[in-house]
Amino acid sequence: MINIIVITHGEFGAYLIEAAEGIVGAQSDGVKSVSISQRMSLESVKNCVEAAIRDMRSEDGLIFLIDMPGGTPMNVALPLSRDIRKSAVICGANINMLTSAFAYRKTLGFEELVNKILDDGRKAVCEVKKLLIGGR
Amino acid sequence: MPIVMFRIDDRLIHGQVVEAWVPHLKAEEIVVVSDEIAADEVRRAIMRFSTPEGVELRILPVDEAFRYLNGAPGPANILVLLPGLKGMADMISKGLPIKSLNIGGMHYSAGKNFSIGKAIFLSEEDRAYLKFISGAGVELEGRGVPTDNAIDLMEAIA
Repeated sequence: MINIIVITHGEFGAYLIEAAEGIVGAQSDGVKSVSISQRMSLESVKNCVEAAIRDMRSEDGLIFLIDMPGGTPMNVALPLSRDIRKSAVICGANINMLTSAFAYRKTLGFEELVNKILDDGRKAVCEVKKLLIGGR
Repeated sequence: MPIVMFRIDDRLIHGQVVEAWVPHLKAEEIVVVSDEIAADEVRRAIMRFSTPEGVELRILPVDEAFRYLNGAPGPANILVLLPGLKGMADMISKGLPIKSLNIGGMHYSAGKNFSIGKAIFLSEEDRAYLKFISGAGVELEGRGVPTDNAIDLMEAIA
């Protein structure tokens, strides 16, 4: 199974996992969140992410789901991901990305899952009033 | 030379800087001053990616940064970021004129036993640098993002 580490500013990632599990069902394993607080040193952020990597390494692949491009979670995860075969660092986390990851990570191959998460995440960003009803 | 802020932040370019300070200061250029990062290709690439569109980025070792900032860098509003106090003290000793210094993030590591607010931890060495910088007539303020209240740093060097 492809494993997932969600890394975010504050507790956003932990709640995102809880919310996504509410939609597609509880995940017994293969997912972890790391919450980054303003108080943590870069060193301790790195230690937490390294500990999560030790738990979550999988032959099938490891996906880092990150909240914002250019933030500390990305800045820490990206260099660490270089030494992990079959890994991806996906920024812009939203709930559709995570439900899609949970739903397809046992059946899709690594590249397919990465593309599926990106597609579903992008589709989720829309202004539906104009799209579905029209006008402002 | 419109340098709009000198900031010490061990995370350098990250969310607070990109989303809060750059728009607040109307920064058009970021200068990262660090020997270590200037020599690290991966971290340079990450910083370039993290820099907002339309903002120029220069990553310079301390010597070069001093020459660049002390010259006439042009009309752009410049935000100068340093990972620690040493580079700042070096540039001030070389004669770089600085009015004020923002301390944004100096996170905890072993020996940094003096803490102020939630993101400033100082070692004895840091306090000596702050004393030197303040003694050079530089105003010090501790502030994570523009909407935070400034933290008084004078007790750290008393």
